[in-house]
Amino acid sequence: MPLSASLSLVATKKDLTEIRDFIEETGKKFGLDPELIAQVRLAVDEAVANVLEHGYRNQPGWVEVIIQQEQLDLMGYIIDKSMPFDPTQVPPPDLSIPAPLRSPGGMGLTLIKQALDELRYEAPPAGGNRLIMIWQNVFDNSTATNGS
Amino acid sequence: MASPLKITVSQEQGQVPVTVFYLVGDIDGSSYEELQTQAKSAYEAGTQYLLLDLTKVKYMSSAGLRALHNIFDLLNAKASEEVQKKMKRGILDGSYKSPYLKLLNPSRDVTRTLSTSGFDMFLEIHTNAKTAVASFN
Repeated sequence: MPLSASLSLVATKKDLTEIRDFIEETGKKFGLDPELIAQVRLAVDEAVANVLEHGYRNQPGWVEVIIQQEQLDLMGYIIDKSMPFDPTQVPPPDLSIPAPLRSPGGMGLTLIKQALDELRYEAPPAGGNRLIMIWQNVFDNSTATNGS
Repeated sequence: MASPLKITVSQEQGQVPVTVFYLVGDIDGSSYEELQTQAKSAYEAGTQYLLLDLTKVKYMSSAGLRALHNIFDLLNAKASEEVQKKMKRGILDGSYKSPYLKLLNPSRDVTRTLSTSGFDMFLEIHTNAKTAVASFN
């Protein structure tokens, strides 16, 4: 059986700690390297924080986080029911401008992208958003075949 | 375990008076405003030099970067136009480090976040508290 874990909750930003704990516990259960767990934690925390701040405008909102193995890859899904918004289309900040001369904020997506191998977005037909995070070749062939 | 942010404050005397924030917990989307608020209160009470002790901060998100940026701007607010121009030149040529805001003992993960975003280019990072306090002048 491929590895899979999910957490769904009506969240506010105060729940980000619970979501990070979920990632940490799941990463350990999956036997992931601590360095990779830190990257997954960062990417998921930033993505959920974006949903809560921009999607739900700081009001409580439903979010589901799924972490699972798909063949050799580790997948992360962030699903919400806020207004459709594709974060992969947001232009990155101009990093050629030194940080103190840029406007404060706007680094979340940059941190997400440097923490993973691939970021995809889907707009489910029923509404809401589905952000897909991919870490490639995390599992070896024996784990991919047998699970653990 | 992730944990909410707690901040305790002390005053240290180096070459100049330095306010030290001891941060315990995570700086994330729910806690960064608390850090900003504390810094603003300290600034309004007369703080000019601020050292953030990050020894017990396990995690910092981009919200923490936003707080650092806002605190950096706050502490520079009273600088003269001439000083601001000199600062901008220094930032552009990579030689500028803030004389007002410095960091102590960020974890490996926090250091990575700082360097990915270029914050280590303008904020001094220290590993010894006494040396850090003494470096303000």
